[in-house]
Amino acid sequence: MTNDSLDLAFGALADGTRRAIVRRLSTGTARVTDLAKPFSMSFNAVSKHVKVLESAGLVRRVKSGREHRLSLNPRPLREVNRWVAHYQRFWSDRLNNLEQFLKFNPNQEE
Amino acid sequence: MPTGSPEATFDLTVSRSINASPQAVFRAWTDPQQFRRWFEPTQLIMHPEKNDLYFIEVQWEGRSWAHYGRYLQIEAPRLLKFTWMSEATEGRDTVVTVELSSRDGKRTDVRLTHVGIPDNQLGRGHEEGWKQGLANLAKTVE
Repeated sequence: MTNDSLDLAFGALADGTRRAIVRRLSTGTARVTDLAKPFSMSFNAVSKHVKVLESAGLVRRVKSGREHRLSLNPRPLREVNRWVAHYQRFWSDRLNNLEQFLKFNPNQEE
Repeated sequence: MPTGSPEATFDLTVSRSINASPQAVFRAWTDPQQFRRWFEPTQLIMHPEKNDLYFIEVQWEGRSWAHYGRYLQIEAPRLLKFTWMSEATEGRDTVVTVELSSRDGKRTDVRLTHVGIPDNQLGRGHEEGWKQGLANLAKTVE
């Protein structure tokens, strides 16, 4: 897992309708048609939002007989992890230092 | 004391392209005198040999962090791999891999991968708890 999936997840959540879909799915699975009802949105419009959430890995399709039910998958957001953020900043900072060090000390031959 | 599930770990990758030869970059990582100058440890004991150990203390974000580890692989000038343990890995051995590659010998791509960072209190918990957390997060960003 990298920060790309985190970006995707936050991108997917940067929309009111998708956030509402996520909230609905946090209470249980649903069919796409069930999701369309509260928004008085067309099936196609809701489908598009669902696809974005699926691409971000936040929503999974679960086959139930002939039905497809949508299920919330919170895994991508588990990356909002304190130590990962800590080390992301730390290593980024050290590599910046390394870059500066080699810039001003180019001749390292002993 | 129970901690999070040991299987729940995270990885991260940080990359840089640096205007220096892979040899120079590798030396900066493995020569203690050079390492001191850019890593800026407050304390350093470093034996960069395979299966040998290090102790690095750094000041970061307002406090001191002690790190201990063992060198797993040292292959100049392309690969350096070591374990990395601190409070911020909750005492677990994580692994840092530094890979250096260069097309022209003058510019080096540095790719640092840190794997096995354990789940913390935020991430600890069950699927249902996470679903609620996600819903709450969604609510917060409204």
